[in-house]
Amino acid sequence: MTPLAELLVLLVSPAVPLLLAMALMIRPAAPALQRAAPWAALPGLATGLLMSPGIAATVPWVLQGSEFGLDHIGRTFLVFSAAIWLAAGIAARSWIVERPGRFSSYFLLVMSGSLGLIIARDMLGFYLFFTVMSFASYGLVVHHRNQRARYAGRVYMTFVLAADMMIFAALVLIARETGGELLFETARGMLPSAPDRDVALTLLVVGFGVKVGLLGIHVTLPLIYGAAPTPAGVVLAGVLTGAGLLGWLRLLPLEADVMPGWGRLLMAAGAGAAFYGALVGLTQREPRVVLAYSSISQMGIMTVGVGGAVGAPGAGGALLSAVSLYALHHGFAKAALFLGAGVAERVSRRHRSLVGVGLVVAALALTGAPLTTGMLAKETLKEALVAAPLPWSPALKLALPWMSFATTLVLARFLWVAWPRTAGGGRLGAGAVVAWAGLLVLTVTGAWLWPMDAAPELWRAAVVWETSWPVLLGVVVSAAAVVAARSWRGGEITAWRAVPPGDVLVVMTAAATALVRGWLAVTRRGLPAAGRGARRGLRLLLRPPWSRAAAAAENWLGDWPVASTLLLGVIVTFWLLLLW
Amino acid sequence: MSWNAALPLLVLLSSLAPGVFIFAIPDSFRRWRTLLNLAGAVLKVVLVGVMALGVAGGQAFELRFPLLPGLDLALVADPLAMLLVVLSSVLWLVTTVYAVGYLERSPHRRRFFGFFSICVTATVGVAMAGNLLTFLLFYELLTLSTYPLVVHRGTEVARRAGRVYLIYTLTGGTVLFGGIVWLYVLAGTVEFAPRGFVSALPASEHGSLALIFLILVAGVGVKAALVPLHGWLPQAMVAPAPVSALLHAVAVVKAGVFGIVRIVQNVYGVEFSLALGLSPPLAVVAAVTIIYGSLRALHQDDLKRRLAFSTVSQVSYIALGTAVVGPLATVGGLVHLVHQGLMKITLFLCAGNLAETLGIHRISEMNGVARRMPWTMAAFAVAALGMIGLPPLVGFISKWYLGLGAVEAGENWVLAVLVVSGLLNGAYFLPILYAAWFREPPSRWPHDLGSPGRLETSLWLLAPPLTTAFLTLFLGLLASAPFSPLRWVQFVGGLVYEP
Repeated sequence: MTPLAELLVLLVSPAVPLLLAMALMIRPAAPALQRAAPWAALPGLATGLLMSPGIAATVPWVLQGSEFGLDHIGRTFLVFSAAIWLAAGIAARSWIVERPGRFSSYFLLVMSGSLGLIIARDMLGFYLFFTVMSFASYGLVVHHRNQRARYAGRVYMTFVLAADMMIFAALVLIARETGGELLFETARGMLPSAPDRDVALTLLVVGFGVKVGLLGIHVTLPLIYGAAPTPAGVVLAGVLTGAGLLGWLRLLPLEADVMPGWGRLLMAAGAGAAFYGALVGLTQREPRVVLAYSSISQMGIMTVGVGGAVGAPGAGGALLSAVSLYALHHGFAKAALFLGAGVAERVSRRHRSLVGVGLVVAALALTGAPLTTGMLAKETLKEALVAAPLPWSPALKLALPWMSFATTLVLARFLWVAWPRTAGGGRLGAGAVVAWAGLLVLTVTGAWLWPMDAAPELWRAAVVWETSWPVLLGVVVSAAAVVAARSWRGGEITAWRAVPPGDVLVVMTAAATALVRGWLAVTRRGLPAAGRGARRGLRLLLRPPWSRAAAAAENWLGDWPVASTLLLGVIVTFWLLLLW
Repeated sequence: MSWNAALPLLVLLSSLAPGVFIFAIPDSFRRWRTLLNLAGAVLKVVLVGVMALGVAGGQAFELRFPLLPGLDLALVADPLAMLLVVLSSVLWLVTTVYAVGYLERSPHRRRFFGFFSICVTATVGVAMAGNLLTFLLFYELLTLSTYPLVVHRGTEVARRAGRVYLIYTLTGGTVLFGGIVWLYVLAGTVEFAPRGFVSALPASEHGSLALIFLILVAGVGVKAALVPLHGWLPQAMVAPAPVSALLHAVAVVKAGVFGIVRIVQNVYGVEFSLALGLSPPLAVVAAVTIIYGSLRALHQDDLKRRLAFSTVSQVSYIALGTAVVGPLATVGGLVHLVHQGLMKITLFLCAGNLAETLGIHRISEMNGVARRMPWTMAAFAVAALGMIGLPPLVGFISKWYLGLGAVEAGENWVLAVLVVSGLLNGAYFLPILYAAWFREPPSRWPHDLGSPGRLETSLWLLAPPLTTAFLTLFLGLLASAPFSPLRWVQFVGGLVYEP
């Protein structure tokens, strides 16, 4: 292909949704364009499926000269992201009845950002699309305009802004080290030896961690999943977490050098999130919030993989493709579950059990039960982790099945709260059903069909057993819990106290409020008071006690004959001085 | 007089002559005045374009009148001058279009447009001044020509603001004059040189030089609104919207900070300023101003007042870039001269649209206004997000270079200041965007004039902010294109360091 053709093929995936979003500003054309919105993801999907990795293009005029390209990881992310966007778009067409035009605009902008960052090969291109995605997604979160959406939006925006600034600072620090070179490869190569390495890494890990749902800053996920309309939640859950993960994969030094400390830190955070998310998720009553905590837990598992790649020499390549396969699997499964939860709310009595089956299938996939894509993803990741020369490999081998167990529990909780019991409210459009069916098919088949360099040996008894028992145990424990609750508490299993969505956010908000109060005291009252004091001092200086005498002198000077005489004197003196 | 000497003069005259003629035209001659205004503005852009191409091609445009023995009135179109000249002539055209739409129904139009033209002449003069004395002359002309614009409305508040403005700026000018005289006595010249001229003085004079630096920077710092000399700026926002736009984006504030750039780069030299230990304190003052301005902006409900404090903060990015020593920081500071102008003029023009069309002056009145005026608020959003420093807008390019320059110079704290400033900018701009785009509009606006035709307001008012918003996006996204301000600034920045 010619360079221009490669450029067009690459840029078409962010450009089509972007242009469509801009065209929506033109009111007369809006209705027709709105109908086209779901299909804006198709070019990206086609590029991901049809183009072989390796195409690249440079746009020298953009920012600091931007490079775009498609590698294996990029292809993986592009395909699953675009597919989820397509499904979400199709579902949204019948789902969103309030302000559909507004929704489409933000939907397309976020789509453009999320697909564009995948094809970026340099830091600023990535940052550009990441920012577009992050800020535009606010419009999706607050679409419902109710109290809850506003609150979620405010918290989300605060985190997005802070994360954006952190990423900016990190990129500046890295770019200094590379001498202005912005390609990811260069940045990754230089980072381990940089003097400000730890600052830059902290900023990167936390900055992208807001999207990933890293332990400690995971608080936005439950809020925005709960507040956003279902089709928007599908992409928040399926695509946006992946974007943060991709930020890590692109910039953390995963292949070359070894940073055991950072590896351990990330692995610990990941493992912590895997269990913590599941634990808090168990206490939640809303299906979508349970899914948010499940996402925190699942992203934790991927974080363990990333940490392994950062910490282990030589294991980066295998872990990288394992994590991206996991992201693909999780994206499809989570999107299917999210849309499924919405479908279950609206489904008519007749089709309830069918929807229930769909939910179970998607949930099973996420647990990693045998024959599911989850099994493939988990085993690939596990093999890569165990093969890596990490001090923690044995412990990990032990912990990973328990993570599956935790996943099973939280998804059992999800099924319990999401199960279609009551008659559905609202209209379930054909588009939503088709989209959901498509996502289910992708959940069941997607990861199996995706080309991998090395597939793990799955069909051994040991592997089958290791993937089965956590799920079986989880199912048994969940069933026992249901039975126990039924007999002890009159069947009301949802009666236990829920941790408020966003858990530690409560603490953060209290701290932030105190901080802001303090600031306000300083800036609203203190600073102006200081200014007034300074002005008073200045006035005293300008109108000192002798000001009356000065005023008298001024009066005298103000007399025209006096002034003109003096002026003449000044001019003559000046002239004489010049001549002299 | 050769073409190369005549061109700087023609550039000045292209706005001065219309200004003088406008004073002579009665208020009711609307067409003639508009024609003169626009013809002058377009002619100026053309002349400046020619001159810029010439400068890019290595030509020298210089005009000198002997003023005193050894002291000329010098107009020199060096690359740095062209930065402000191009900015001010392009934005003058934009603002003139806007002002015609904004003010053609109000009284005292000839006074307004006359002084408006003189004000731009003065700004261009400040830009092309070849030495400190010429700089001072145009700098004072600027003060005097903007005063009638600030008090244009004639209300008590306006006159008070004008008084404060005069007290501040005239005092600043006097201080500056004192510094220039002292420097002239000491160095025997005040001609700008690419890498400064005072480093040649003996070491025994370094103490005096440091003191002179302080005096000069304090003098121009008034107009540059460095804290604590910024008090006049938030008050001066009572001026009509086009004046505020010009004041904040091109003319007065820019002249002040341009003075800082000239003093640091062309009088002292960037490296010599550092050697004398003068740049670090300046950087600290700039950083304090950046944070302080943003903190004060947070609590303003009056839209223009919030924008004014935002100017206090944003203009100091330029001073900061100048004070941090290193080619990248210099580029960041200089390019923000243009970038801040584009963004801030957009914001003020949008604020003017809200006031003129719907009678909205306060942020608390802006709920849902984007539904009524989507294009205005889209332009506003672009500029506000640019102020936060989000890619691909021009504000990001400035911030990127400032950040790179800071870490290059080993001043990592500056990067932290940029991050905090970005957060604060978000904290005072995002709520405005939220109110405008996501809240429900009231049943009626404070003072809805309605709009002619299908547009949300008159095209004269709508086109200018849309143009500058487009430039905010376009010049940021294509920052590395050969025609971008960034490219020009990289060329300028290369001149102030030893090769």
